[in-house]
Amino acid sequence: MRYMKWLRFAVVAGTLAGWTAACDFVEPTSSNPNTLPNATIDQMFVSSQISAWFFNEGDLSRHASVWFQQMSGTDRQGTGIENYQVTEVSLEPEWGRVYGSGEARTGGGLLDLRRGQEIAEGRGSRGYAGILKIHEAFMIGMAASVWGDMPYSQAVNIDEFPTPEFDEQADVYAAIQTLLDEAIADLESGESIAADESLADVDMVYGGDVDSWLAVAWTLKARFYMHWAEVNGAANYTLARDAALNGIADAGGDWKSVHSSTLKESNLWYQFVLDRDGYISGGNLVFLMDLDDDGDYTAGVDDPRLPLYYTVGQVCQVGFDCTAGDPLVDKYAGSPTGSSQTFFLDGVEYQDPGTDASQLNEPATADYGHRLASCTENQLIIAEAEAQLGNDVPAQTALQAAFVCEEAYWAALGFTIDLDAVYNTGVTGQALLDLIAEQKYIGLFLNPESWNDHKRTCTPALTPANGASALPGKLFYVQAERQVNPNTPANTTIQARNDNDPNACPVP
Amino acid sequence: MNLKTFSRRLPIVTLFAAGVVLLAGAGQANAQAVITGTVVDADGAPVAFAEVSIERLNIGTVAAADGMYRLLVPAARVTGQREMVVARALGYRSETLEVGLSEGEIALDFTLALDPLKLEGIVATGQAMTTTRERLGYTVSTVEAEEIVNSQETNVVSALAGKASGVWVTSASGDPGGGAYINIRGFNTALTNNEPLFVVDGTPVDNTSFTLEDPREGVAAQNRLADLNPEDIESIEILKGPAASSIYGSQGANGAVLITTKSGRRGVTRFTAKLGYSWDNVNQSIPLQTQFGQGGLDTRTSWGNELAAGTEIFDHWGEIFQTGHRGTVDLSLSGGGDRTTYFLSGSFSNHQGVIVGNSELDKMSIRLKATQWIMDNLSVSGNFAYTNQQGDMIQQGSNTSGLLLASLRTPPEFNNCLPDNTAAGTGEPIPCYIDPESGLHFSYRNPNPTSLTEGRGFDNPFWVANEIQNTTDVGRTFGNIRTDWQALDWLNASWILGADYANDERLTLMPKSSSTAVAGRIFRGTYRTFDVDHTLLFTAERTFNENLAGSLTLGQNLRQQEVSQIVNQGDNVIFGAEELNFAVDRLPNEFKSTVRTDGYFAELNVDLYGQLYLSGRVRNEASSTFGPDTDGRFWYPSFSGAWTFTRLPTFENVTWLSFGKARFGWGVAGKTPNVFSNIGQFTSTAFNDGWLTVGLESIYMGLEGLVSEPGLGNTAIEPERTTEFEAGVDLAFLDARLSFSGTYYYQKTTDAILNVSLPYSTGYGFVPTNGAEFENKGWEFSLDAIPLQTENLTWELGALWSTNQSEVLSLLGDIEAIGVGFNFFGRVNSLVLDACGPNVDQPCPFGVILGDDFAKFGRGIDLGDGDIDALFPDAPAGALYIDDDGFPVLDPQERVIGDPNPDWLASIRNTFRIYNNLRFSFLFDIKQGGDMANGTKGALFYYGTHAETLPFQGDGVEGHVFDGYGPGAGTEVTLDSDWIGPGGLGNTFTGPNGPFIEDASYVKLRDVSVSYAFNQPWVNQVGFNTIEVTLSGRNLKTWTDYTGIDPESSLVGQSLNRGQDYFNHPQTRSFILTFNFIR
Repeated sequence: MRYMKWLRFAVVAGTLAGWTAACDFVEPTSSNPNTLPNATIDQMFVSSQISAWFFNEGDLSRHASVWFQQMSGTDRQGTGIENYQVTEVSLEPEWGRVYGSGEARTGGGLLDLRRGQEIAEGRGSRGYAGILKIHEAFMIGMAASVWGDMPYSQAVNIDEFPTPEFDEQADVYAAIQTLLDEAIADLESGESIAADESLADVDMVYGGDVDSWLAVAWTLKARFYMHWAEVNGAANYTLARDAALNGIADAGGDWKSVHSSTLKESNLWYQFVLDRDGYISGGNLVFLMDLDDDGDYTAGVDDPRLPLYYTVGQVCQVGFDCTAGDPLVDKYAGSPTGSSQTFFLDGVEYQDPGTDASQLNEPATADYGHRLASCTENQLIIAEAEAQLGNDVPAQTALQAAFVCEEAYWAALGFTIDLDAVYNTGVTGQALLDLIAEQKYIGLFLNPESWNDHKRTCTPALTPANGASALPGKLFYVQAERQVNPNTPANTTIQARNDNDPNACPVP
Repeated sequence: MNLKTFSRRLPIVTLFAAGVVLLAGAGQANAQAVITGTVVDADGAPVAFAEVSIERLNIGTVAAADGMYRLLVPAARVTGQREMVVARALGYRSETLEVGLSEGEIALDFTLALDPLKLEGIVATGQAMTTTRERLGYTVSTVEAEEIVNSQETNVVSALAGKASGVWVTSASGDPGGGAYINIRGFNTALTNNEPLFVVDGTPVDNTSFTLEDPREGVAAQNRLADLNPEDIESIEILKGPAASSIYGSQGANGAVLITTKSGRRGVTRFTAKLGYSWDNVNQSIPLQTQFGQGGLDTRTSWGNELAAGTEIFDHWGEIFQTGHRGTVDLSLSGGGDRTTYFLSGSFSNHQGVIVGNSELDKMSIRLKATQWIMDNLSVSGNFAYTNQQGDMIQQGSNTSGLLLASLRTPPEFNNCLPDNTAAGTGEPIPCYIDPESGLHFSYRNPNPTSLTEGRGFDNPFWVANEIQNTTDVGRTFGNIRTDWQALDWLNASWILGADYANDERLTLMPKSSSTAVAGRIFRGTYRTFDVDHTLLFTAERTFNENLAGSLTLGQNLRQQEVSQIVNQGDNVIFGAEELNFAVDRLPNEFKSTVRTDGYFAELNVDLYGQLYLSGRVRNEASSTFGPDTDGRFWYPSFSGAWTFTRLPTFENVTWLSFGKARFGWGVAGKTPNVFSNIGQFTSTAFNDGWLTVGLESIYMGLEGLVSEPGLGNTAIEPERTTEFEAGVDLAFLDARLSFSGTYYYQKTTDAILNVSLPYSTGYGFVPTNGAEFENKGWEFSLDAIPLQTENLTWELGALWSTNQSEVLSLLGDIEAIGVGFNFFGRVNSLVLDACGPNVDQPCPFGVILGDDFAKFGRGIDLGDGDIDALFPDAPAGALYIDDDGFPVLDPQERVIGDPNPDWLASIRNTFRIYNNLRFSFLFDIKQGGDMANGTKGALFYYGTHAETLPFQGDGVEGHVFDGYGPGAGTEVTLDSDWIGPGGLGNTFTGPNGPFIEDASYVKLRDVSVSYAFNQPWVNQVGFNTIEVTLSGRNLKTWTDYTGIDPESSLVGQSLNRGQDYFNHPQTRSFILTFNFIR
């Protein structure tokens, strides 16, 4: 049995060799092939732009436009939005979007904006840093307008502040005004952008154009001063007007999202309608723009943006049963807020059309770019501020200028509209203020800023849904923050108010 | 099996047949000594299939069904020596007889005493080690082949339901190939899916599942253990927790299921051919109302007018189901000669589901397990299985292209399937879901479609079932090579090298006009896993004297697991196309990972005085998923003891107690962090908000967009540890006619690894961290009895009962709740600390349901006017708050609204054997407690189609007073469509989930079978030893108060999520006729 010895030897030797070889069989995983160890400023800026666009035209836009009745929740969870049935889980991704990558579906927020600013400042690209600061001011300012107090001074600094404190809303606004001043100084410094060859390629809106971003910075400053006008009155109207005078001056300078007809690059309202057909339909704004209340569009009589915003809906006359074969009538009609409402068109009473109401038209096409800040808004800020300061003539001038912005905006999309034909800008006093507020309500269609405008102007008069005491005042702090950050204030009701908006609008 | 499938498989079938022929001719040896006789039990009844062998010579055979055996000893080995011949059979004590070996016939009969406790049975204990049942200091439940086969389940996991105490099995649905989920002794980790490790013949195998789409929608996923052919299983040992499974280290925390496949036995060649055919149908239905029609609040709902007498109504539940069928052919060939044994099997089945449409699964598997003794003390075994599964499934769940979602929301008077449908104009027959005018697919929300790409609202359910393709094509190869070498009398060496490769090719094709993707969508995915496992063992055994014996095992285990996953999503697909090439928009997604572990282990066993058995085990392990800031290697010890106290002299005269054993076990097992937990980098992403299918990709318009990852890498994660203590007794009375086992266990998981949510304001979403503690404790009892045993009739009774109580002890300091499952109905399967009970300050069990509820007292809620508990101090905790108008209102905060954990599980099995030919058995499986979120009902309340909406239809319920406290308490209100339907709080879309949480207790008649074994002479004349005919019922009856699809359903299948019912596919019951030809 000589070979047995050899076998034993082989087994023992093989085992020892295997045992030894196995020593470095296990090493800690040092790289992840599914992620990348570094990101450049350009790579992060691409994401930050998309993130800002998402914040402007995503769930926040949907909630604000339904609550403020430009749109109406007509099916399933859309109905829940309509009736203010929101919880602390609603809009959770939007809270995450402000700060960074809190959720897997977000990113490019404050965390990446700060990383980008650090890289830009580290290599002397002040202009690039300025553009990132404008994005930061936009996200934080809009978040503070809907949530109120929020983490800012201690945010995105996990080593020092694992549970950031909530800054007072007023302090957040003060900080972003300073930030915008820094951004303006950065952009005006001239140190910068030429050295960053790639900025022109990755800045999808302005191709790195300094003047365009400067105008955006001033318009945002004006907007955020207006957010505190309800409290500070004339002082803020003055600040807002003065800032806006440097703001976006023509429709070509509008800050708007860039979309294409490729699904993954398409406008979010387009995607929402595609995926959630019928959840949200036209709201009371349809009736408002139908100036002669006949359910049809008549050039020179109705707001010419009506057929651009909405499609024709189908309505059923009260007393008829259209599910049983009675005829539906083609009309521009929104679904009135609340269930089972009726309305009159040309003296005829119709049932709430629900999902048969007018649907989104142009703003729901795939490559439609939603405006984040615009010449229209800028001129209407001037108009409102001047009117509030008692200067009706410059207010009328600014209103006229806003119409020019609107007409140019739609002309660039291939539609000729004439707003002077239907609106009389010669009114004064309260009528002028109402007209300006109404024009902002129409002009900033689907923009979450409409919520802030309405909080201040209470125009048009809107009836809260389902007998609620008031329109929504602020968003709930989200569960994901509350459960792990003991500094999170308690939520009460959706009608609770922020410091910059102490007064609820009267219920008509 | 269609022709195409058959032709693809033809080569495999041919090979298989060739193998059968070759092997049938093998293993015949010319015998010089022939030992013959019978093996009978104490009553003289034959013991079927007993194994008779001369172990020293490695020679053996198997007795026939009538107990007759014939053992051939080759001439070369017959030298007139004396040899020990042993007869063994499961359930009997072995008997060893000495015989003088000489040429010619030798008669030798065995009489085996009953051993219902199977004390001598060899039990696998992990890492290829075994012991006898008597020596076990911890619980190992054994499930025999017969029980697996009787269950008539094609998925081994489903087959375990009700078979072992402390084991909870949930089959997701009755779809062909539908997945199943198993949990043992409660949930103790937030990391993975809490399922045990599955090991086949000493090599761990993959049991993951893969979904192309969000698992809340799409199709029900299969768990990969479904690739194992149940007919190949000899026995299953279930190690229930770390006390038993610590030898698997970081893979043993949830227990281990050790599966042993059948092996060939020396002696006559055995051939079995089993033909089975089943009739399946749905076993529970959703009640729908048939009195009120479409309309009312809007045309999507059925809150309309009462239907006029004579209006034709349609059965939207019944019309989409049919009788399903499964045909199976199982073949096996086994045997062996002097130095070779082999087992070859093949299984072919075709399963047509109960849904009218593309619900089908073709499954084919083959296995060859063969052992060659190279020398008397050296053997090599090869054990290979190949499985191919091809299935077509149907969309379900939260999905506008889901079958039941579309069907059950349809108004009663709307016809989804036009009879004798023909195209307008041509008169050509067309499918019933096509609008004759437009030639397009219609649905109740779009009955007259005018365009291929306009929304249908929900799809026509018949279109869903017939036109959407969801296919899977799995190729799986797994097995191992094993070498055993008895190097010295006292030293044995074994080496096992195993591999497991699975490749799942998946396709989902939604043609244009589907509601989910009106422009058409394709998902094509490949999911590949490849595991390699090496185990080397040295075992030294020695008996020092009659009072002292022992063994020592040293082992090494190396393991590598690779995962590779590619999913391509194509949108805007050209009509009629089935490939990504024809998609305008294409979104690829790729993931890959490799994980390595090594373990070195030792086991020391000491037997004292033939009654006290002590065992100590330890494993030292490293894994590549730990970061550099840990020690890197970790210890997992365990210790157990068993004392057969009835061997004490004092018990010699105690006749009523035939056996008694006290035992205890203690052990630690763990979990490693998920792969890449130690790394946080940059990634591309799809920006979304949960409402959109696609969102915006960060790789945008040709530009490179990256974002910080949501997870913060943690390089200092330590292993999660679960420590278990268990103690129990095994007792047998009345000559072991009655036996009882009782076990108490306590498990505590410390340093549990959590993806701890970070405040979003930090910029991050979570960090994987050690930091939670959970406990599980419970009792397990089993009772086996033979109440009746005569020569011609035996009645065996088995009963199991177990309970488990879990508790979340800590969550990183004061964190209140962490979600670990998929959100749906709020956050199903959340870890919540001390927020349960009516006062929401009591400890919580593992994995409760967090969701919306009505505002109730005892929660400190402020609805704008201050704490409602202070405003209404008389209101008891849990009472409803009633607003000014007499209605309850929404609680602004999510609460714990349900607990899916069962209170206890039980099963009762009865088996009757009559005249040794007739066998009758049935099994009741019982679950008491455990909540389900009945989302199906909550949604159908919105739509007004559920039968329970009837009282609220029309004028509704007038004068209703909500029971509660508050400013409007006692106010009479009307409950009609405004309250129940859209916009109201009486449904789950616009109202809270809380009211739709239901108790999901059940009693299920899991299986019933009657079989008769024909072994009369005519059977021999037609060429067989036995022909067994079995009529079985599977899942025949469910008794439950649960009103949803099924109390056993699961929307997300094989995941931590439990208790979710949202348009899931129903369970089925089956009647199965089987013919088993045995030779």
